[in-house]
Amino acid sequence: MDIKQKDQGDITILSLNGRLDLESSTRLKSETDSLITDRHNKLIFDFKGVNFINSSGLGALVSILKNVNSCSGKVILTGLAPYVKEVFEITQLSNIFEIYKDERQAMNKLKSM
Amino acid sequence: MQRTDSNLNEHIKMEMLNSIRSPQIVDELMKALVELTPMLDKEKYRFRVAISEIVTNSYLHGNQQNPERTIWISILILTNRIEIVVEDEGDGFTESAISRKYESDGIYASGGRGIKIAQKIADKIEWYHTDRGTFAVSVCKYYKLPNEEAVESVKVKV
Repeated sequence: MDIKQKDQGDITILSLNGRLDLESSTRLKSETDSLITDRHNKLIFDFKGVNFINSSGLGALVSILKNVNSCSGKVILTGLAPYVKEVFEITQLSNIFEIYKDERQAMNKLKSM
Repeated sequence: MQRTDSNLNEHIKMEMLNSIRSPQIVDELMKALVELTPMLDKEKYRFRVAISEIVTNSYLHGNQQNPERTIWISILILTNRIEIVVEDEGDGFTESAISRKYESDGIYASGGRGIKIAQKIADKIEWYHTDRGTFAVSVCKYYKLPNEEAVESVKVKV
């Protein structure tokens, strides 16, 4: 998985590209945890390039969400393909993640915080 | 691509060393194999996720990430369904153990969702100990044909 970081003010956008599975989830968690340690706690994950996700990827995202929540930050997911979004719905994780259609909506939400 | 061959009958068997890459390797194979079936595109993806969960579980929990252990895969593609059996060298799991973990950790658990996801996606999922001492999980999915999807869609609208 390829992870590209872009900062806009105090908001960090992570564009993910590829598979979010067992192998890549460890790296995603580790890189994001470093960001949170560096006080980047307003995070947007852009899923436009994610073509596969399973419970390993979901587990990493839940762990990141807990970490961000504990420091009063916010995680927003955008650009999920319908079949990727369905995995969040099957697991009911769509109830705890804020999911927006695109990056612009997510930015507006975070700027209003 | 959707194949409408009325005599689908393929049986593939393979074995692989237990590796963190095992789930992805199996998924790349599944991605090609589901194209041989008349499954709808969204069903193909769901089925790949289910199989990925089972192989991940075998690697992590069954074979406990031990690179000297083996995962065996059997893939049966028939006219009306696809069946996959994944075997590992672990002790296996039980329904109550899965439910216990899922319920005790709650929605914020960082793990424990894999088998539950597979159960929700598959039409039939069974697990058992084999005569040769391995633990096997069998996953079956019947093909939903486009006309069945249309009927379901009408039902939902009503």
